[in-house]
Amino acid sequence: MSKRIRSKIARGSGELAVLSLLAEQPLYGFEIAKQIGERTGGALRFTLASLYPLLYEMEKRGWLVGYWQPNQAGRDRRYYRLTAAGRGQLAPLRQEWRSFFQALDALAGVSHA
Amino acid sequence: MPDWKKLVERRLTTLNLPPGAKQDVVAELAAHLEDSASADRATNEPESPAIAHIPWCELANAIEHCKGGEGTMNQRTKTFCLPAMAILFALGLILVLRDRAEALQRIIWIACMAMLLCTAASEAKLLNRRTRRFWLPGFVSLTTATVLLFDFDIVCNPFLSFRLISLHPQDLLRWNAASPRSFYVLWLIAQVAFGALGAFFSRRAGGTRATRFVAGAFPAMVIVGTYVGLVPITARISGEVFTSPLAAYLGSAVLVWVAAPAIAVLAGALPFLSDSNIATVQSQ
Repeated sequence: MSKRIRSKIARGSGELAVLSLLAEQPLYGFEIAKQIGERTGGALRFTLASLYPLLYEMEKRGWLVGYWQPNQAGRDRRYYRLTAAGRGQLAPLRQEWRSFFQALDALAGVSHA
Repeated sequence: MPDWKKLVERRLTTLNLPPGAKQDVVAELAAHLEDSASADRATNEPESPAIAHIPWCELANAIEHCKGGEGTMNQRTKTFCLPAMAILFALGLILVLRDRAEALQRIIWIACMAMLLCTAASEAKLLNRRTRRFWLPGFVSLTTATVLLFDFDIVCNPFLSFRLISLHPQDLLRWNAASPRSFYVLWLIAQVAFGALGAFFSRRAGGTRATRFVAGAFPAMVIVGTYVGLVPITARISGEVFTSPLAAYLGSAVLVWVAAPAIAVLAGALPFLSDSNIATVQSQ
């Protein structure tokens, strides 16, 4: 997965990526972007301008809660953790994406590409 | 090292949010840029000129769109808390002016204070970070201390005036001063809870260790301030406070009203000074 995924696809998958990461542990913005980049081999990358509106939007929907806390280096960072509502969104979103890939696979054979 | 907050603040001038919410956004984005620059340095990569390529205007609009609803008070504050506080305040004022129902007056002030604190907590997004992390928790610990003083007065001594319990240090330290001392001991034990409360609220709002310490110790600091500044001045002017030689009185006063409560509030704040929750997060 060396090539970066086009921005429109990446944006759509952002919610799932953030929810999946935060389901493991609370993280702050930079760590979220860093881990998404690392785990997807750079295929998905969030810039500051794309990440924070998404986080704030998800926070507004009640999926995440942000809170200030010092990080390992003792610097204040705004951590995000998943709420029960956010955790509840994870399974349907995963299913939605699975269906989407299956449909695309049936049409374009993407799994063999 | 650039001042990231200033850099971000200058670029987000069009962001129209209440001061507290805007400060949070600026601090968060500045932290991101700071981490990004540190990561670039650590990997010997040239620092990406990220700040120049960020579409700040679009970003400000997007953030404003997401956080738009945070600029106003919530419905409960507008329709219930503020009118209730106004009515209670007016009622309390009438009772004070007519010098009636002393116990009811106290209950009204306690209710007003409690509602004010609850409102401030629920509207924290409108407050700036320093207020959320220091002034509000400090005020909570100080107010609970005052509320409990009133409460003890009402519960322990419903028919007599509070002033009849002598709280002069020399009276508290006297062996046969059972009533004042039992009040004082209860008050001292309660200080532990006040210190804990202040430090807890400060930690919850993201206060640093020093801020949590000061917020927890706030009632003790006010007492110190009162003794160091106000009491000697009042005593000099009125000549009524000091009934024993100055040095002995001040010594016992410091012991009873400064040192002991300070130790108690700090003992209460102590568990909230550690960053144990961070370790938990990182170990997950």
